[in-house]
Amino acid sequence: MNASKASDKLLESSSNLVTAANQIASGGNTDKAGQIIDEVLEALPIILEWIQEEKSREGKSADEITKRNEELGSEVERMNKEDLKSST
Amino acid sequence: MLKRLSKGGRISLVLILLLMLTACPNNSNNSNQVKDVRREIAREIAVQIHRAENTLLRLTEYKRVLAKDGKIDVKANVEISTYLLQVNNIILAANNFLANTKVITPENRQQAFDLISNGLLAIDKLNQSGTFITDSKYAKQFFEFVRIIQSAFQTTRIILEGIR
Repeated sequence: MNASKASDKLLESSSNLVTAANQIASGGNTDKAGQIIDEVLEALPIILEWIQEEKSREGKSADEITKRNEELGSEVERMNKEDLKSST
Repeated sequence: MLKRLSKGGRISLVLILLLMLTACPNNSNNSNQVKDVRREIAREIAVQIHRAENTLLRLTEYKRVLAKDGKIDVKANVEISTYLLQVNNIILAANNFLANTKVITPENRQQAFDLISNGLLAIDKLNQSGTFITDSKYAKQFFEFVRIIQSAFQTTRIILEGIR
């Protein structure tokens, strides 16, 4: 998903949130409305993460991306090896 | 030799030469286009691998916070760290494969496919290790991170399945 699609999804989610809030205000199905709000609130950080991720890689070549992956991988390896060492 | 050919034969020869001359640039263009598409496929896979690696780092950080706050016990910490390392190794291998091949071809596709299949198996183990987190609230977040990693791998598998 690219950044603009993620933004669209964010807007769609926000729109659902407004609809749900309206349902509560008009005394409709409050349980369902509450459920929608919970789902939207849960989805928002993930969507924001996508947007951030997409923006950070826009215009980057495959070489740049694989180099960054290598750096992230080394970090993950270092942290987990450290955790294993301290646990045993 | 040309003089030995009939008039029709000479015309045919000229026509073949003309066809060859016009066909050559087209073939070259087509081949470049195919190469560009395969390079683009490799880039898309690199992007998905990046998504998985980035989430794996966030998951490692999350697990560290849980351990620090006493939300997971030592046994769970060891189990999760072991599988995080396993998934990380697969991601690094896939990354290494991409760095060395640059383009995904029908010939190296199987190699990439096997790596991704192994990655999905390692992700399953990581998912199972999430059951060690007894608090459902923290387990839910853990599984959400794993789901993102799994989705990146599944997308890669779908991309690879489309290569012929």
